[in-house]
Amino acid sequence: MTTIPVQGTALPPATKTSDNRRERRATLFLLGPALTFLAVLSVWPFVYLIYASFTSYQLAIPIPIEWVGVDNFTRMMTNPRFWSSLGITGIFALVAVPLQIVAGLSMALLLNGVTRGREFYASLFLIPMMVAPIVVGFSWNLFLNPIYGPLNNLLKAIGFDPPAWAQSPDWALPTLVVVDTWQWTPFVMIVLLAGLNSIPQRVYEAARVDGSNRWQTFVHIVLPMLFPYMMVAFVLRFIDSFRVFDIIYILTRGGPGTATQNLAYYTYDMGFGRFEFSIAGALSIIQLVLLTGGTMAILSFAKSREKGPVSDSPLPPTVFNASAHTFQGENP
Amino acid sequence: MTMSVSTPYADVSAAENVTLAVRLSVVVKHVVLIMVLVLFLLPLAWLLLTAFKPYAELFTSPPSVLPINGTLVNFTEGWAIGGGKGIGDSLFVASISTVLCLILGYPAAYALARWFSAHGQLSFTILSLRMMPPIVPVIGFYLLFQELSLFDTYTGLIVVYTFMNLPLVIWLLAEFIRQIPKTYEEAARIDGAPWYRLFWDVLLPLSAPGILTAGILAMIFAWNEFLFALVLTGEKVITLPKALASFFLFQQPNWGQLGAIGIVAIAPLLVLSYYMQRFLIRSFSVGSGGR
Repeated sequence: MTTIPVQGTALPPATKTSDNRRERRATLFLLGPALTFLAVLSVWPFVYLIYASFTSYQLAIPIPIEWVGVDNFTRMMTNPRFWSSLGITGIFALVAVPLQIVAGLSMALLLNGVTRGREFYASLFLIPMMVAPIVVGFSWNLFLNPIYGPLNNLLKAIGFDPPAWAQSPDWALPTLVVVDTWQWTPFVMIVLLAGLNSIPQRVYEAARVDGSNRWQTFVHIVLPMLFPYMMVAFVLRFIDSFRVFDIIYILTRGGPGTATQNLAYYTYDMGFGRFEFSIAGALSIIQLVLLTGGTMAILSFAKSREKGPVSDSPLPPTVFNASAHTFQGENP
Repeated sequence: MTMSVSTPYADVSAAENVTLAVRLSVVVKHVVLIMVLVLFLLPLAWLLLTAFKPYAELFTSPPSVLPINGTLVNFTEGWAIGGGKGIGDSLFVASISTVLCLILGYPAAYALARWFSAHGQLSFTILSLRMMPPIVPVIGFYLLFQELSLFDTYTGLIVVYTFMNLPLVIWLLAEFIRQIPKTYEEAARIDGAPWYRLFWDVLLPLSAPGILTAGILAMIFAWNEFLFALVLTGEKVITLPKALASFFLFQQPNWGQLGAIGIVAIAPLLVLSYYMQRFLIRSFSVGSGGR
């Protein structure tokens, strides 16, 4: 962050050196505070993190801290609990996220089929992702409660023998996947709804004139045009899938046993349950590497597949292409 | 969308039939949507209903659907057992950190918008900070906070939330400022307006919607945040998510009180969801069409 790549052009008449110098000073003055703040707060804890992960740092034990090199990392490689938490993180990224894409697509298509009240429906569908994950966790805990909860009482009434969902070894992880999907499908829906909005009406008309039926139009025209939006949703949800922690903390606390312990929860448990900061530090770094690698792989796949909004920026267009003029009340 | 318009060769009666079919399918779609929506919002609706149930009704099996003897006692009790403290602390930490994000973020966003390209490396570096899962920096923050005696302080949490939200605020504001034509500023500058007049009278009114949106987002994220609050605070600072989690896990959960605090925690967000869906749909609507 020391060299600042000035890629944009300056104000039109800024050819004189005095103007340039003044502009550079203004840039420094305007960007300085925020960048300093961000730099200090990202570098300083990061140094601690790296330091902890290469030593024998344990908070509770007053032994001298030793440099142990990559020991913490190699110990993880042979630890079955690490591999199981990696697997659970993988399930969130590779099962829950595609599930959310499919569910979000269905909801977006359903919503796109009506013109009246679309914004009203969309804002109601959006509620789960606005609600604090902690509240989501305990409202689901209440809802799924084996004794007092409505769901199991209903299932019993119609003759099923439902499991104890979050407390059951087999059902705890699927339950969490469902809750995460419930919370974040609306986000995918909103992204894909924006994608559907961007397809001009004449495209559908042209397809109809060419004699293609609804299914053919969907598969050969709508889906390919939605692809960049799906990639946007996938990347953002993939990144977020590493964050899943709050609902695990409330619904299962990683259990039963270690059945729902993903990398984030395992790291938390190591760091703040057992004060093994060195192990927790190593786990944090492993997560960061996996997340960065995974994101880059998805982005390069997206780039190779499509020349869309994804391809011209290092990140998907997302929120950041918000155009101010549409904001001030103009309808598209 | 109506097919009768786009089929010029159809005779009048056929067109009427088509319109009827279209209307019927629209009705069916609305019915399906409402059903999906009701099922979808059931867990939260259940929470809402529970908040109004007196203690005796909470632990019946099978449960009563509607509260039989509706009561507001859960709200007052929930407030008293720590919900009030949680709301106060969350409101304080979230608003101060949001204001700090805007104060630090606006000048930076202005510089980024005017002198750097839209997807330059600097913007990307800043935003990538936002992508980190909170569990990654939290170990380092914990050790740092112990060193600086920031553990369990409002200042500490405010600093962390500002750090968490600042990248997003900068990027969002920069996108908004890019949409403001430079000619407005140039005109003001030619008139000899000093920089603070330029900011106060020209830029600020024009970027107000952006500031509002960025502020709302920062506020929501800080209001909902759990992991940092869990790890970096103790007994003095207790934000709402942390208060809720501890009632839930370490005491005999009184569902009515939990429901009441939960509803109070999410009520402001429900109001904002209408604004947010418009914002999200428009901000993702790029590519073909308008631009």
